[in-house]
Amino acid sequence: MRNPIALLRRRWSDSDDVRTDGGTVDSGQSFWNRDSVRSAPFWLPPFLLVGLFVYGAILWNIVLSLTDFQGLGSPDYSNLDFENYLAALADPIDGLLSVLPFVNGGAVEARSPSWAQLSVEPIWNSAWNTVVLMVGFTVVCLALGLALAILVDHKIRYENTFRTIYLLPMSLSFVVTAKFWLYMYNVETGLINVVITSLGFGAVEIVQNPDLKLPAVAFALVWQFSGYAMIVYLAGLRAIPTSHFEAARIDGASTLRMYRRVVLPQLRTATVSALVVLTVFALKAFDFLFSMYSGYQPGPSADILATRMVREAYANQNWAYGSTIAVVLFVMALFIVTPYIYSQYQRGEL
Amino acid sequence: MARVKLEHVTKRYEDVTAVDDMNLDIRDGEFVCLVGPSGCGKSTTMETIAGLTLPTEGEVYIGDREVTRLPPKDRGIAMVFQNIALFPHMNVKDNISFGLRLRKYDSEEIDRRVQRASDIVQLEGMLERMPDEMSGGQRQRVAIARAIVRNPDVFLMDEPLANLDAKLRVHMRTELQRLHKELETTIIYVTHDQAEAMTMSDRIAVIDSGELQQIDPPLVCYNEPANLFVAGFIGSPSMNFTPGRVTDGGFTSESYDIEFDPASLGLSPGDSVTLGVRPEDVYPAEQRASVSDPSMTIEARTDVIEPMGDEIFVYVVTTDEMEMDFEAAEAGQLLMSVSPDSTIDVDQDIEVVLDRSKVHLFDDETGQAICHGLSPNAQTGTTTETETEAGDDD
Amino acid sequence: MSKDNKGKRFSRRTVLMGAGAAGAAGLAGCIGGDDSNDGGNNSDGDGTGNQSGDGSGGSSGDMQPIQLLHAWSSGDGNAAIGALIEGFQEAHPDVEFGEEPVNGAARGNLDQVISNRLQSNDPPSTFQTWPGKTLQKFGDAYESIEEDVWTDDLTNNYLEGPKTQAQLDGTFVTVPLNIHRINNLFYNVSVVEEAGVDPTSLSSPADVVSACQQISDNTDAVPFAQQTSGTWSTTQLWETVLLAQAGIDGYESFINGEGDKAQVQSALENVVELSEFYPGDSSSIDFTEANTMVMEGDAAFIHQGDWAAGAYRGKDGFNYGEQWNQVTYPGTSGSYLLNMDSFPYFANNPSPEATKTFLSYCGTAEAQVLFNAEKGSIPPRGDADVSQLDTFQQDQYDDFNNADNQPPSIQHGLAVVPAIKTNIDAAFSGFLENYDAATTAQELVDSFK
Repeated sequence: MRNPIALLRRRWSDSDDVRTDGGTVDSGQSFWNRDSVRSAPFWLPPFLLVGLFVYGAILWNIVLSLTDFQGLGSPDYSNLDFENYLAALADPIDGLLSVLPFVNGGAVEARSPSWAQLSVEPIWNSAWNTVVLMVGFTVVCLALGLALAILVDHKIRYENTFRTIYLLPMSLSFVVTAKFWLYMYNVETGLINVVITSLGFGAVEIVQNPDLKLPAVAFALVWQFSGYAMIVYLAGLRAIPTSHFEAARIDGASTLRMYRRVVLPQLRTATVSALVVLTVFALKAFDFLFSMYSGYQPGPSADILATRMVREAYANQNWAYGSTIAVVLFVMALFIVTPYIYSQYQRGEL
Repeated sequence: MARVKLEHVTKRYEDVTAVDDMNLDIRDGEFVCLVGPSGCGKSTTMETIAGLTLPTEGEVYIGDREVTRLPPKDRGIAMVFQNIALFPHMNVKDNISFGLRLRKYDSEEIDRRVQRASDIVQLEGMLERMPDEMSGGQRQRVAIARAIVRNPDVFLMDEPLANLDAKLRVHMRTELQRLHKELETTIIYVTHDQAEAMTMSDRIAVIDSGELQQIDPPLVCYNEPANLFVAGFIGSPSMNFTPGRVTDGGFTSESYDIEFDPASLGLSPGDSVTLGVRPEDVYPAEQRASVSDPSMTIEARTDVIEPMGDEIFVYVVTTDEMEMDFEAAEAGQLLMSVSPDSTIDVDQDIEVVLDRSKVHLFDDETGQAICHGLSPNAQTGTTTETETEAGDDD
Repeated sequence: MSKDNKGKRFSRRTVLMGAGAAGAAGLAGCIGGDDSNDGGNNSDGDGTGNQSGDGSGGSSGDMQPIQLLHAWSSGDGNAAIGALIEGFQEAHPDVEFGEEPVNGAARGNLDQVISNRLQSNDPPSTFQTWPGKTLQKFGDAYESIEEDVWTDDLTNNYLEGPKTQAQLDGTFVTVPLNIHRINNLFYNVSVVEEAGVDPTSLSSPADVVSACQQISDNTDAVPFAQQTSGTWSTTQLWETVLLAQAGIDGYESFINGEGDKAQVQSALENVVELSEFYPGDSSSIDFTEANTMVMEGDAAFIHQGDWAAGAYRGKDGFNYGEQWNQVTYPGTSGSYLLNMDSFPYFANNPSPEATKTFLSYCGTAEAQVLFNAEKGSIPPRGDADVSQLDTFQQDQYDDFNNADNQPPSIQHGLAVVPAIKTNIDAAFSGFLENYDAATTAQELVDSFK
């Protein structure tokens, strides 16, 4: 087989030869000789695949959310509108009041979009839970990961063993960890309550306790992924020369200040990469909730956009409405990740 | 400004002793280089002075204070690192003023000091730049400014020029000397490059295997090395060493003999000694007249010639080539430095002489120097005899 | 255990045998099913076999393999489907079978697979689904089998309740295979005896609460084994209590969207009272663990579908009528609360002839006995020879035939369409957090809006 590009290139420059003087030949050749063009066989296929299956799918999902698509058959693209968004984000003020803690206000009326036989609830509750979970989980996970990384970085004994121990939970599937934590949270025999009762307090219902459900899920996810954050931070810490620590100490920085003013700022890249991945894991908490609550009905205090989305799409076959929720979720993830990516970009670190 | 004193400082890690019973007394305002090969313990010594490492035994004094257990920030020191260690997320000004800000100086004072420090190292107009926008030399100046700005009693510099290219390194050397003259602060400077140590320092502390070998002004280290290690380490190219024995009439080796009176040096025949002579103290025989105390003539053959421009290095072989193994060749080889107008060719028979007044003898057992220069009174009478002997041997 | 293994092994072997037989027979011909409904769906243009419902022999033609998707990938479900397919292969050796259990053994996963295949216009032959209102989910994708499968034999012999559930908007599209009863109260005989409770004397949900109190007072056992990590056990308990308290009329009003909030709330309040007698860690256990408590004598009652009895069958020395027993849930006598599985017929069927042959076979009493003997449920036909079923099943079958009514289960998808069921599930997921009967009652009534 001849290389078709080489063939094409020869033909191109041939025709130039005939038509023009050497200078133009050069420009023709220089196009084909450009690094970007010559390397196209390597970057173009993945570029197209990612473009189609990631960005194309996102775009298609956005378009779907504007339709009335439900049930079987194929979507009707002729009549696009924002009806689903109006239903999903109806009564924003009351919606926010109804979900914010310590505020008992804002009843939200369910809406009835034209396609719907039944009215649909706005998504304020699950959106709020998602934000709480995402922010709570990521912040705690990053903080814990950083703390572990700093400890491990201090060249403690059995460092590799510790690293493996911390990282191990991440390799478990959500199904396993959900069942594991269901057991850990058991009121009578679970470790958490054994500790609580041995400290002299009364046993606490966790799994179906509206106040503790979401924190319990976040805690389990932190347990599972702080090891990942640790590894990312550890790599970042290892990249900082020892002399930076020494310079800071000689300049008079206490350990706390040294980490805050010298080390942490240099871990920005590590933070961003961990943050992006952890945010995605927070979205994937769906699997965890699904396993923990035997289905996609974790209850109002732990309902997140992902469970709501799957309910609408697969239980109710409200495909367009499910897509709408997906878009909201996507935008939320962008809101969290974009500022960091942008600051990295501005610093020229991306 | 302060004197720095180490008394019996020992630093042991689990299975290695990095610094072994180190005693150092560095005077106020002195520029002292700690030199030695990699892993000799010079950096650890500096770290114990800085307080980055606590010694296992011994005491450290800076000024009049014992600082052995004090944290680095309370020792009145500033440090410049080999990899420069600027904080990449801060601009030049913030890097320089970091220590001052930690100590809560008011902003006017900070500005004044930063201005002065950056003037000294000539960083005008670069205060707002980020480290990654600067060249290696500029970054090193920032690192030095960061050290200057705190008016430390002692500067500690850990191979600060090692990561710079050769030309810049030479330039920065003079800058540092100028700086030292201007600030008159005690500087302790770690390097493995003996040329740096020779050119800049008031005294050189030569360290090997965690032990201090010699601390003296550069020329003393050069001319009167305390032992074999110092003799070999200081000077480039390094000193010629010839292992041999003491005889009734002086020194003998496989390659040549040198006449002297062993008794005057407290040596007795049969003692193993090593003779050392620097390349510039080896002369072609025809220049005998200009040598202050020439030895007998040594028959040799030129081997490799390295013209350096201002001088020529000639490797001459003094033993019979045919019988040599590699080790014997090393021992029987002499490096000679001659003037660039010499017309010496390779594989040529040549006669050389040593300047006896510049010959060093070392005790093989202890490595310690026995003498630097052989006494002149034993010289003339014996010269011809040795010549004949040498001729007979051939 | 050994039973399960046997079932699995058998089914795999039979599939191979079936495939081999089909291969040997080549174009031997097709059996079962009338071609009148094929339309243009079977692109191969078959040889138009023609025969009666469960007939034998037929004319030649391409018989595509049946694509049956189900979630019975383990346990008694797997043994049951194995027995059914084995029976079918014996009766129709020339029909090829491509059985495809969907991994995960969860109905939700199976539905997603079907949903995706329907979206890409590639339906399987049939799949395991709840009949009743659940059929609405893929409503347009089904095709009538009134003429080909629902012959007089079926219409005359299925009881009225199951027959209603087999229809989508009045048209037969599916063949119910089995019935699990929901309104059971199982109990450990020695525990209730120790407490001095006679379950047969209980006549209302309130009596159950009193009995639980008595058990709590007199024994160390948990009175009422229940899991609350998922909503389903609570939903089916509530629907049973609703049926008991509001009667068949009140129950039917609710599932028709005209529920009386007071009745709904009263049933919920009864559940709240019962919840006092749940295991302390009910939120961390699943149904199997709750059921085991009854088997081990750590709990007295459990309200469950009769699959709970399947576990009892597998335990030595734990026998029906001796160590364990069952009563119709107090207050619901005369009702047989239905939970069924069925095989529907898809339009654009990949194997029209074979599918109809298979569905017709599933409609026979013989097939249903084979299946239910393993599954622990009962045949939906009234004329089955249940002598091969165990004593408990025979008793349930008698109850079934003598029931005044056979209302559809809400939790098990027969009574309401999926979107309403989603709302009901959501209401119960909140109920499990706070046990607020009034709020949940309002949400349940509003589920139909």
